[in-house]
Amino acid sequence: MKKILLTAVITMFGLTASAKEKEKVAKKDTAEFKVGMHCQGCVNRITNELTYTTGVTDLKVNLNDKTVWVEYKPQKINADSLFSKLKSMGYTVEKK
Amino acid sequence: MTLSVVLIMFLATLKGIVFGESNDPIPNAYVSVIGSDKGTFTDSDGRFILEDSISTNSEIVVEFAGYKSDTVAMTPTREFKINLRPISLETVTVSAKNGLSNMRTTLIQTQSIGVGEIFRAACCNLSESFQTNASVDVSYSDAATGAKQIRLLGLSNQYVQMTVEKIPAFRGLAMPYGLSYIPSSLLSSIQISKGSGSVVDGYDAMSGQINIELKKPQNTDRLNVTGFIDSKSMYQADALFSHRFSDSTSTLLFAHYNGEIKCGDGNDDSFMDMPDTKQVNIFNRWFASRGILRQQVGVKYIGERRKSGQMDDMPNPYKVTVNTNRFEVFTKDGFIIDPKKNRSVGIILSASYHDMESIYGRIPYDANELYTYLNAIYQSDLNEKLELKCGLNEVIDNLDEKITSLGSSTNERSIGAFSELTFKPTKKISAILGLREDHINTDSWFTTPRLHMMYSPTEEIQIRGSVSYGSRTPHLYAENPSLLISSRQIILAEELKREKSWNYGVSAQWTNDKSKYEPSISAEWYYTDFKEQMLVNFDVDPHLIIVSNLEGRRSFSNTAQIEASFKPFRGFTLTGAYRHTTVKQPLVNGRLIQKPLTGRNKVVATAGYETKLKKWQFDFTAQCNGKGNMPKPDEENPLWKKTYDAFTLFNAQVARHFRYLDIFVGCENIGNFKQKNPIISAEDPWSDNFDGTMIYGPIEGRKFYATVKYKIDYK
Repeated sequence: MKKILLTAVITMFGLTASAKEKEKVAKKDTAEFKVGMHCQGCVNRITNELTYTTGVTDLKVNLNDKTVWVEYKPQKINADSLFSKLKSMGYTVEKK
Repeated sequence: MTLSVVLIMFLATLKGIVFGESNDPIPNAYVSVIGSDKGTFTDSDGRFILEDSISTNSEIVVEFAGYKSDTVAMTPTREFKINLRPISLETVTVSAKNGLSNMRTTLIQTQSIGVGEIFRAACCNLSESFQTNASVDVSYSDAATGAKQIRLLGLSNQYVQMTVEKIPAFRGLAMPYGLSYIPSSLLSSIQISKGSGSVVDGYDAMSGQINIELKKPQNTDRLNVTGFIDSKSMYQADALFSHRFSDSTSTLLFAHYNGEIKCGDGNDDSFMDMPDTKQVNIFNRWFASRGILRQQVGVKYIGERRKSGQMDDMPNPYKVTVNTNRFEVFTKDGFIIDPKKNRSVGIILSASYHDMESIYGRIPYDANELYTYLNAIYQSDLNEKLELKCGLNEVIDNLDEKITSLGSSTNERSIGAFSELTFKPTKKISAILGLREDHINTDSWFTTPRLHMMYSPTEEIQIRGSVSYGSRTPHLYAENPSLLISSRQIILAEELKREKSWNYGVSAQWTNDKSKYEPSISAEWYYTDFKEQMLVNFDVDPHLIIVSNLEGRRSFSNTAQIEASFKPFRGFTLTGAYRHTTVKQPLVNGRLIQKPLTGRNKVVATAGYETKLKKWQFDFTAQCNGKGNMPKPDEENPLWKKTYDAFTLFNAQVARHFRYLDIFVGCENIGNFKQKNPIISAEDPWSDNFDGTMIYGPIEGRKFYATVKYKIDYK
C-alpha cells in the first residue's frame, strides 16, 4: 500500500513538474504600439485595462515616447486583439 | 507646477483630461459651461465628458482646489491645451495620489498619504493609517479602553489640529476615541503638515495639522464592500454606495459596523487585552452644482459601546464602560464670482453633538458637548504675484461634564477675523503671511501671526522655513479620560490657562523623478516653544497626578528627522527614516526632564515589492522605537522600572489585486512584542497602587488579519 501511495505521489509531482516545465518553455511574444496618449491619466487607464486582459504577462506604458509595450502568451491573445483593445478605448494606435 | 487641460471636441460633446504637475491626472476638478447649468467632475483618471454642451460661443471653466481657475473659449480647434497656475500653494492636495509623497508644490511642508500607502498595512480605521509613517506616532492612551493617541513632533493629540476636509474634528470629548471614528474604507487621502498650518483653518494648530479627505460622491466607486477579520477576533464590515443623479448632483451613503467575537486576556493579568468595542457608523453626503454655486451637505452618526476591564470571572471586577452617541452635520457652499481673477466666496458651517456616558472603575464620567463652527472665506488674486484670502470665523463650544457628583460647564465662544497673503515675487521664491485676530469670551483678544516661506532653486529641490504661533483651550478630563484608569489622586493645582506656543521649522527636500531609481531625501528640524501649557505631572509622587500651568517656566519639543527612499529595481521600493525627539517639561522641582513615555529615537524602514502587472504586492515594515523614561516609581517600594528598553515591531502584508476584488493578508507585530505588566497592581485594581496609564508599547501581541474588498466602478 505504501509503495502504491509513494508511486502515486511521485507521479503527481512528476506530472506537475512536467506541466510547469512546459509552461516555462511556453513562448511569450511581445508587441509595441504607438498610442495617442496625453497624460498620466491615459497611462493609468491603459494600464488598468491591459493588466486584467487574459494572456498579458508584462506591460510598459511610456508617456514620453507614447509607446505601449506588451508581453503576452500567444496561445491566449495576439497582437491584433491588443491593437483592437487599445483602439476601442478611443486612442489612435499604430503598430511599431 | 501647472494644471493642464487637453480637450478634444466631438461635435456637441466635449471630452477632455485635466492634469497637473508631473502629468498626474487631477480627479475631482470641476468643469462647467459658463452661462449654463452644465458641469461635471473629472473622474479618477482626470477625464470628463460634457454631453450636448458646446455651441460656437461657449466657454468652459476648469476649477480645482489650490489651482487658479481658467476659462477656455470653445474654438473649432480639435485639440488644444491650456495651463493654469496654482492659486494658494498651501492648500494644494492631490487626493487620489497613491503612496507616500512629500508634496513639492505646497509652501507649508506637507506629506500626503494616498490610498495605496494607507493599505500597505492592516488598516481598519484612521488610527492605523500611519504605520509606515515616521512622522506620526500612534500609541494606546491606557491599558484598558483601546483609545489611541497620535503624536506629531513628539507632542500629543491636543497640539495637532485635526480636520476632516478642513472642518475641525476630534476636539474635546471626541479626541480620545476620534481616530476610530473614520473607517479606512471612507478615507481618500491624508495630508500631514508640520508646524502650524494656515490661519484660515484656525488658531489651534501648535505642532501641525492633519487633514483627512474622505471619499466624495462625484468621484468614488459605485459600490465598495469591505470585510475584515483578525486573529484577535475583531471583525469589521462596511459598504459604500454612490449614485450620480446627473453631472451636477450626486450622493454617497456609507454604513459601517465593527465588533469583537470574544475578548481575551493574553498576558494573564486578569484584564482584557482589548476592549469589547461595537461601533455603528453611518454617513451620507451630497454634492450639487448650480451655476456659480457648488454645494456639499453631509450628516453622520456614530454609536459606540466599549466594555473593558477585568474578566467577568474575577470577584468584584474592575470594569470600564464608555457609551458614545455622536451626531455631525456640515454644509460647504462655494460661490465662484470671477473665475478669471480666481475670486470666490466659501462658507463652511458645521455642528456636532457628542454625548458620552462612562464608568472607570467606581468613577462615573458623563459629558456632552455641542460644537458649532462657521468659517466664511473670500479669496481673490490682487495681481499676478499676490493672492489674498480673508474672512470671518466663529466657534461655539459648550461642554458639560460630570465626574462623580461634581459637575462643570464650559461655554466658550470665539469670534475672529483672518487675512492671508500669498506672495510669489519669482518662480523660485514664495511666501505666505497670515494674521488673525480672535476674541474668546473666556479670555480676551489675541493675535495669531504665521509666516511660511519656500525657496525652490530647481524643480528637484525645495527649502522651507516657518515661524508660527498657536493657542488652544485645554480640557483636562474630556481630552484625557485615561487619567481615570488609575488610583492616583488628581490634584488640579490652579485654574487652567489657555495653552500658547511658538513653532519654528526648516526643511529641505530633494527628489529626482527622472532617474530610474527615483531617489528622494528630506531633512527637517522643528522646535516648539511653549509659553503656556497644561502640565500633567506623574513625577512628583507615584500616587499623585498634579495638573498645573507652565507659569513662565520652560517647556519645549525639539525634533529632527531625515528620510530617504529609492527604487533599486523595477517594482521594488525601499524607504528609511530616522527621527530624534526631545520633549522636555519642568516636572521635577521645576527642573526640565524628558517627558515620560516619550522615546527620543525612532527608526522606520519599509520595503515594498509589486510584480510586473502589480497584481501581487508585498510589504514589510520595521519600526524601531528607542528607550525612554517611565514616570518616577516609589523609591522605597518600586513597582516598575525607571526606564523602558528599545523595542522593534515588524509588520508584513501580501496583497492580491483582481479587477473587482482586492485581498490583503498580513501579520502585525510579527515578533510578538508586548509591554510587560502594562497595568500596575492589576491583581488588586482597588488598591492605591493601581495604574493603567503608563503605556509605551503594544499591549496585544502578534495579530494575523485578512481584508477583502469588492468594488464596482463607474465606466
